[in-house]
Amino acid sequence: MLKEVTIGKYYPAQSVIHKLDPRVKLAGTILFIISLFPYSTAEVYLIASLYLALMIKISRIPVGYMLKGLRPVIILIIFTAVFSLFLTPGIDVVFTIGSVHITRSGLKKAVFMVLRLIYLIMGSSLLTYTTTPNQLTDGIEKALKPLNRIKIPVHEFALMMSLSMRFIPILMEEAEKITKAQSARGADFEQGGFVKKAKNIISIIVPLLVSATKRAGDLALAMDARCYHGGSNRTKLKPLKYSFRDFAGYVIVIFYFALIIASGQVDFIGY
Amino acid sequence: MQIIVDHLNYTYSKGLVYERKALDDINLVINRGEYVCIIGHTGSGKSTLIQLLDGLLKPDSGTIYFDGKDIFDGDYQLKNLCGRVGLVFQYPEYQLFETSVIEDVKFGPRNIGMSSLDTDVASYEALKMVGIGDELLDVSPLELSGGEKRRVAIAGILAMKPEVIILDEPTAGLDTKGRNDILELVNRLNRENNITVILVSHNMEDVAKYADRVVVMAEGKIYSDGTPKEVFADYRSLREVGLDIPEGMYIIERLREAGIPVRTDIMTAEEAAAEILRFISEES
Ligand SMILES: Nc1ncnc2c1ncn2[C@@H]1O[C@H](COP(=O)(O)OP(=O)(O)OP(=O)(O)O)[C@@H](O)[C@H]1O
Ligand SMILES: [Mg+2]
Repeated sequence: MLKEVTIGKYYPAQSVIHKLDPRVKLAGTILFIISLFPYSTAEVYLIASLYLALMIKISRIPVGYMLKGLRPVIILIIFTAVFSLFLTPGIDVVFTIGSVHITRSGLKKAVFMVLRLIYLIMGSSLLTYTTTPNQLTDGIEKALKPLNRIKIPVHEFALMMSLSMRFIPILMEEAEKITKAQSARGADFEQGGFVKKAKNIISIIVPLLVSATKRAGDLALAMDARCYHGGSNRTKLKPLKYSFRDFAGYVIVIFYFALIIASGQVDFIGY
Repeated sequence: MQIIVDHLNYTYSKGLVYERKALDDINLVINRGEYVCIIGHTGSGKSTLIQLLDGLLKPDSGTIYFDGKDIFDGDYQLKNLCGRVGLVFQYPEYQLFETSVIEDVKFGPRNIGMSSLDTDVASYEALKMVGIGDELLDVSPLELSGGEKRRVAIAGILAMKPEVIILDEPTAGLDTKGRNDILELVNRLNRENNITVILVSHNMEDVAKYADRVVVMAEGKIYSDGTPKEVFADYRSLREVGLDIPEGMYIIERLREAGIPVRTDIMTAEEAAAEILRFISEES
């Protein structure tokens, strides 16, 4: 059941996007997310949809896999839709069910909120699907390097981030193993009353915490044993370097953002 | 014929780039009361097979019959299966979670709906069987030593009164005494309580000493199946799939290659020692 969570997992494939410098992808993702907020017009979302579809196509990640990533947040999406649909006041009532009025602006808000949420998740998933956690932290570390000057320990933050990301799949695997072991002892995670279910979940959480604590301790010891001492004077095995491809990437990202801003100013299609 | 594995196939992450075929057309019949060892190099599919035997994974195709019933049939109560087929995972001590040893052992029997009296009796019996003394019953399982934890975890399975017990490398990471205790326990369960044993092991000496039957797995397939003597006799092909023969057998083979006429029906180190002594005393 935990295997189903695909958000944040790397998906190995041969594509230009996979090969791109992580800083380009970071900038692209951030700009894409920003571009979803200021305008709620059909033109802007049409461009965003085309852009996202194109990127998914280029990245060679199966569309089914992309959609599967939405599964864990489907409840959130439904809630968002329902709330904006029913709770948006206005006089432009389209139709009425009992005592609730569905307004034209509510309908519009629901559609854009849902799209925004879906694109947000897909856009950021695209980043993690195409970038290994190591590349990602390298990218963040390098991009934030100037902050070192105002005494922010960028390297340490990057390390913490990469360690936590590294541990996500390990913990998930572990949780799955423990779940199986407890199922073999007859634990049922689907049926039974609340107390029974809670008890069965505890049978996973306690062993998981015990082993996570132990792992963290072991890791700290292993790092100490190899004389790890933080960021100063540390060199990289694979230093990040821009190539032509990356500059082209920046141009496309900026072009997209400019297009969004420009089309946000007009509203031909209307709604 | 207690367990029949019929054309079983299993693939991990089906349909993704990391797709991996772990079991490829497995056929196997295990009889009541048998002591079967499964051996094979890492990644040959042993753990996958035993998880299917307990109904924890669903096969792509093929099925398993337990006591004549198809366990992957929609109507089959898989929940009853885990009480009848006890599965002890590798490093089972990581699954302990209760506040005391006795409570942890009771978790399994309670889950399968044993009455409270039966649960108590079965749990005390199981702890006694694995050699955990009364003074440890109320201790937190986290305070026990590695070997003790392992035995408590096994007791947690035994308390469910299984007819078949499956163990995945139960001796990994234990010292000699810990290993022997567990192997002797399993042997007793098999001989005295007539429990069918399926044991995954990397230790050829243990396999030679205890098993009635050895199943060799390689790359998701069954490579050979027979008595330890039959399987180990073909040591050249065993080596091809990354496995060794027991040390005793190895010594005897080398002696014969050197032209010394020792007996060949030998597997364990003790038997080899006895045979070499016999040979020396006869020669002189
Ligand atoms: N949860 C999983 N997800 C994906 N692939 C897996 C998973 N578990 C096992 N595999 C793969 O399936 C194959 C068989 O694994 P399995 O664990 O059954 O081997 P094994 O014979 O038990 O090995 P070992 O002796 O190391 O325990 C391996 O190639 C392994 O990489
Ligand atoms: Mg295994």
